[in-house]
Amino acid sequence: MQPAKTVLNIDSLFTEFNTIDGTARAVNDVTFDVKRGEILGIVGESGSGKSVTALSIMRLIRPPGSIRRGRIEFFGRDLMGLSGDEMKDVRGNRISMIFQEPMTSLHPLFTIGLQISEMYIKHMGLSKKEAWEHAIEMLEKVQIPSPEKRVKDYPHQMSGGMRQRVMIAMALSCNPELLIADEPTTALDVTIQAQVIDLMWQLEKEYSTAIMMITHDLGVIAEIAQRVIVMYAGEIVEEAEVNQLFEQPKHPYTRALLEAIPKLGRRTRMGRKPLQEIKGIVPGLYNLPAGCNFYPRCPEARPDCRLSDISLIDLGIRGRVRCPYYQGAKA
Amino acid sequence: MKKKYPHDVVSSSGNIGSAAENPMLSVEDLKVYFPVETGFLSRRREYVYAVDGVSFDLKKGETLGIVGESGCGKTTTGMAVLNLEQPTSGRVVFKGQDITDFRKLSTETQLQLRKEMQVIFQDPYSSLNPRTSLDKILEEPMKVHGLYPSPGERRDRVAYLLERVGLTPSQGKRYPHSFSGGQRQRIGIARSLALNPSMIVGDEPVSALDVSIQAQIINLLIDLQSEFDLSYVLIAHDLAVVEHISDRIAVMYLGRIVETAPYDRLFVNPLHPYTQALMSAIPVPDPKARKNRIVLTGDVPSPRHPPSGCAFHPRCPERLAECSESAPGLLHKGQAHHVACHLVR
Repeated sequence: MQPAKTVLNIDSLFTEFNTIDGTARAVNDVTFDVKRGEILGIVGESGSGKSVTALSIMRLIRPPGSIRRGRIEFFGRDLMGLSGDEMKDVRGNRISMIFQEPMTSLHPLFTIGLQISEMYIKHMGLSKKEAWEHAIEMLEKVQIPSPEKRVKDYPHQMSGGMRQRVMIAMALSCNPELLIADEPTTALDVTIQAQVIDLMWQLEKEYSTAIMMITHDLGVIAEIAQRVIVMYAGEIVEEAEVNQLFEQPKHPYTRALLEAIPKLGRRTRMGRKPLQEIKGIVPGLYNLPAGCNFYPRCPEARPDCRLSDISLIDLGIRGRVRCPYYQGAKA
Repeated sequence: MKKKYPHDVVSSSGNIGSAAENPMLSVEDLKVYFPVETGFLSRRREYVYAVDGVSFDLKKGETLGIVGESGCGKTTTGMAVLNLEQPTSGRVVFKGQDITDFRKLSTETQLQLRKEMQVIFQDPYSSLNPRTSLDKILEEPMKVHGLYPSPGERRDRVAYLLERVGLTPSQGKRYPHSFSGGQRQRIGIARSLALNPSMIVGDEPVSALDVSIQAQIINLLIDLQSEFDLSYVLIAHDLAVVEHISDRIAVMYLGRIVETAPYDRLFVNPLHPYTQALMSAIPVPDPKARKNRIVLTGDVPSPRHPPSGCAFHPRCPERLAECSESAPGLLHKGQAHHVACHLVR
């Protein structure tokens, strides 16, 4: 295996939304990297900042939102310093993104063939005819039956699962180095979700594209990711290799989250015990609590947790955790 | 109200579930078709076969979970039970009374039924009136039904309900927008309890919620069931949630029940290939358990043009020749386990 090459390096990213209600600190000092050929999972609940992180990388944050600080290095080049045109050349070509809702991310008035072709025409300068051929090829790769026929379909003629395949085909058409998938299977039924996850696995092997998989579903993370980042209220609270995260979760939030999910077959095997709740609600981003953001809900909170902000502790090979009293810490 | 349980409604037609006692709810061969006009000149009338012959019983205090993918008819089944959709044919019997054709019932009976059968909707954002305070949301059904006639009694009842679902009475003055999704779902639950119903239909009550909040609401639903002596029909797509809550589970595919069993039998021994595929498709939160999934090919067919024979046959990995010719009926395999599949004899 080649030494893992860093595709993307995000350093101290702060993204904010200034509204009449105040400043929402959606992404708060986020630092991580994505390596070549890996699938990095980013998991968190709504409002945890996972999607805003993705949009920040693509520089798709619109006012009132803005990236206040931070570096987004793609192969060593800071994307923050690029002009609009330069960024357009990166988007879709070298970094592409799949969104949750496959209906709203396709143009309803153009055939899918035309929409995939556009990628080749814009980014690779191919002729219309060549681009069309490539579009059919791409549809075949994402396992759409009779692609030479379906290429002439409009989005409304396809099912949700098919449309998400088209999105994947489009995203991979220019052979990008990084694919950001934001909840790509959330809107799909489980049997279709299984198909799409399988497809992403295969494509990752074939193209060795780095994938950033954003989801709220820990099950999907366990199936697909190699390394996982857990986010809570705009911050990274834990990062670990996937087996470690599920076997020895360190942060109290990660542990609580894993306990809170009903697991298939558990009641049948072990009888019904109440699910472990996480009390309270996710804090509003306008007025985050002082100190640790998870403090008000944490079952293991100590008085000093709210005195000062908690920094992310680097544990080397065991990942990172934002809690001084994490599971396994020296007492 | 006079609650008489005539003897003739006990399921005789191969209905699911135990027929030992009179069920609270009995659904027999329920069909709900929606007409659609097609064709430009020749105005052909086609139908969406949303629910196509569904039968089940629900006992007092029991929870029946209905699972299936989008378009399988699980929500329509629930709405037809509540008569929020008019059944095309079949029978819905609630506490011994045939309520299939709601319009034929007296206004008084209709009101009584509305009081007894309540619903919790999926989306806590769109199911609450944004211009009405919590107090009013909870008081209004009591006024309509003439329960708790004095304002003082109503206030007490509202305060009790709010506390019971984990809110504080002082929050009653506030409007829905100032609550989070999980809190709104608590409001929806409080509203459904306001009239002391005997049955609640929950249409995906936790699927719009975050994991940490979902656990709170699931625990709440289970606690309330014993406290208020409720029967639940729980419609959901998440099998793990359904296993946790339900006593009995019915798996639906394209308008029909393909398998039904007590929760533990279903998980230990799923007999229908669709149930097996559904269970194997669920991502398990354990990376060591990455497994060889049964990945079904193709999509769920449209309920407008359901396949011939067994509706699952085009996607079934184990189909036989006869599967495309005749639709299998539900067969009893013992211990209240029923399955509709030609492979199971």
